[in-house]
Amino acid sequence: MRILLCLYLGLLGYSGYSQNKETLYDFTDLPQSLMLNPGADVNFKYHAGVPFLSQIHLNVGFRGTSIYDIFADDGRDINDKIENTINTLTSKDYFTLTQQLDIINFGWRSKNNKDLYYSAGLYQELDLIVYFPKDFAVLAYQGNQDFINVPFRFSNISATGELLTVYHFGYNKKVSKKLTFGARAKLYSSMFNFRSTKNRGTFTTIETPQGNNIYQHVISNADVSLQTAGYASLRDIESEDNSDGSKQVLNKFLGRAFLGGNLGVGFDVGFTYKLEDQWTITGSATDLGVIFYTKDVETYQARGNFVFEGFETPITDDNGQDILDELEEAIPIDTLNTSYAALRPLKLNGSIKYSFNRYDDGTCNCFVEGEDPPYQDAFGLQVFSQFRPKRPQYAASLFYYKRLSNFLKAKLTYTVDDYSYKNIGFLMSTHINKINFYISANNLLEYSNLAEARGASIQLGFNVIM
Amino acid sequence: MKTKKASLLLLFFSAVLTTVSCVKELDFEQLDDVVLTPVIEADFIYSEFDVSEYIPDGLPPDTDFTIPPDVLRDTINYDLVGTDFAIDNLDRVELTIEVRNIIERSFTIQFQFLTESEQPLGQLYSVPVQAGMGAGTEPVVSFSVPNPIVLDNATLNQLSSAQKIATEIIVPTLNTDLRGVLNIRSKASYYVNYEL
Repeated sequence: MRILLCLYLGLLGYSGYSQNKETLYDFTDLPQSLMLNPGADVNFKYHAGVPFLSQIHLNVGFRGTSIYDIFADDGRDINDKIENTINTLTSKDYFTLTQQLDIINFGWRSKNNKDLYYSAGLYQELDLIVYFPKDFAVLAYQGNQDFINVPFRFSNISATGELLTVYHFGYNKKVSKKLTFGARAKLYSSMFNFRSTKNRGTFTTIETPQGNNIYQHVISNADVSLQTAGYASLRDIESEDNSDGSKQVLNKFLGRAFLGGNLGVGFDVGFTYKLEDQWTITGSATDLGVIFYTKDVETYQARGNFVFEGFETPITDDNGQDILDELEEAIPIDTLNTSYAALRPLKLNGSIKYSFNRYDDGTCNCFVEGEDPPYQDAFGLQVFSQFRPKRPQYAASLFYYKRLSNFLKAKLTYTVDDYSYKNIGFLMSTHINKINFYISANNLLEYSNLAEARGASIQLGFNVIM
Repeated sequence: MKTKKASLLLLFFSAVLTTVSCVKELDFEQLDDVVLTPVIEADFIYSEFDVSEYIPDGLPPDTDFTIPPDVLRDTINYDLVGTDFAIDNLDRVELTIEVRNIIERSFTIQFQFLTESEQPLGQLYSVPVQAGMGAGTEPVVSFSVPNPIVLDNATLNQLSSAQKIATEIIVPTLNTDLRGVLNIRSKASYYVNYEL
């Protein structure tokens, strides 16, 4: 069990906080930097990622708690620990899971114009965020006895999940010696989506000293909905109970992955600008896009008001007797098939960098090629933001880049974000002949006990780069 | 040489990550001990008995009359304590019954759990109601004896096939001069003990 868990958490380690890839951002020795900033200042002739292996990225993050807070083998009663955790967490805390897999990724420099670099590919992404439904966790764990006259808010229920493939084509141009600009067009094919983000209303047990009964249980202005796309047909397969059900599901997903899903469009933009010789600023906006959910859409919606005062006796007139029937009548659950559109989670990156210690051992033929020799060291500041249903997530990193040799480049980051104030990240990239391998991890300080970490990260991949 | 050094460093880095990254002192078997123990407060039955609504037409003042017992008898559907969830996961239920009386008579309120076919289950519960002090006075408040009525786990097991509750307000001989209302208000506190 323990070994499995180690393995599992080890794998979770191959991850990054939210979609922040602070070590990879502006690491222009790697073509994957183009996915974070299409205007990264890259100098490849061509690159090709090893299919399925050019970028593996998986992340898990907890804001507000860690596995250790609950499952630590410390002799304390788990129920006390859960209760403490529920009390500490707020409805702004969340659990996120993001996983990306590059299926193909390649790029080439234009033959006609050496300032142009094109890149294209296909990747798969899974993105999930679940906010902690604090009020309902309290209701389930403690009940309403200690919360008379306190509203339980349906707005606490907030979650989205998406499984999609992304086809992309990017354009990167050195506009001048100072400015590099890039853009990437994206076509999304969503295999599965659910979202429940705009819930409203309250459930309150009100003490009524002058009322018909001791309390009134009031559901007020409830408006709770769950949108799904790609779920209804899967449910049908399951209910048909076919022996080859899993095969059918797989085929369905594959079809959707290859542009048979709900389609969307989006783009990334970015730039690199050399302020002076040694100062560089960069910025990018990625996943500025929208997916239109028109196929296989089902939305469940419950709206209304309801008051329960107990069972009246003797039953006067036709006061219904079945409270559940009354509730269903007052707040019916409707199933709708209306299409909807949803924005992709927009991500913003920016950095300022100071480079120094120019590489000059006389072996570089950079001058012959008309280029400046590269700097061996750089440090700077990066910021990251991602838009989420309730509010954006932010992160800021200090970084140090070091070119140890032609074969080995590294970057060290220190990040402050929603999860922690002491997140050290490290990226190492080897370039041996044309073969590149990179591995990056963050939250290194927590590796002695991953369970205590609120997230950890590794990305890795193989490329062929010229 | 450099290539070798780079590979070695990388190998070292990967090895350190995989060996160092581990999980200390976690015990997932604690999940077996998770118990949800919410206390849910919910309204139970309520009733209002207004004397003036029951005075037969045409009776002269200061005349005694009685109400046929079945008029104030009622059966309501109530299967909350009879569900599988309740039998397995309810530790106890506490019933608080509060009666406010203005009418200058004492009453008795009785209730009884019934099966689907209306066979009585368990004991008959009765709530003695003290006489009120007449129209225009503050109501006299009575509670069940004991207060609250505790349906412990054994009792709940006994009530497992309960589907209904019969209620009855036992009314003494009334007088056409009497005025005022009797209000029954009640709640149930469900002590859940749900093991994951």
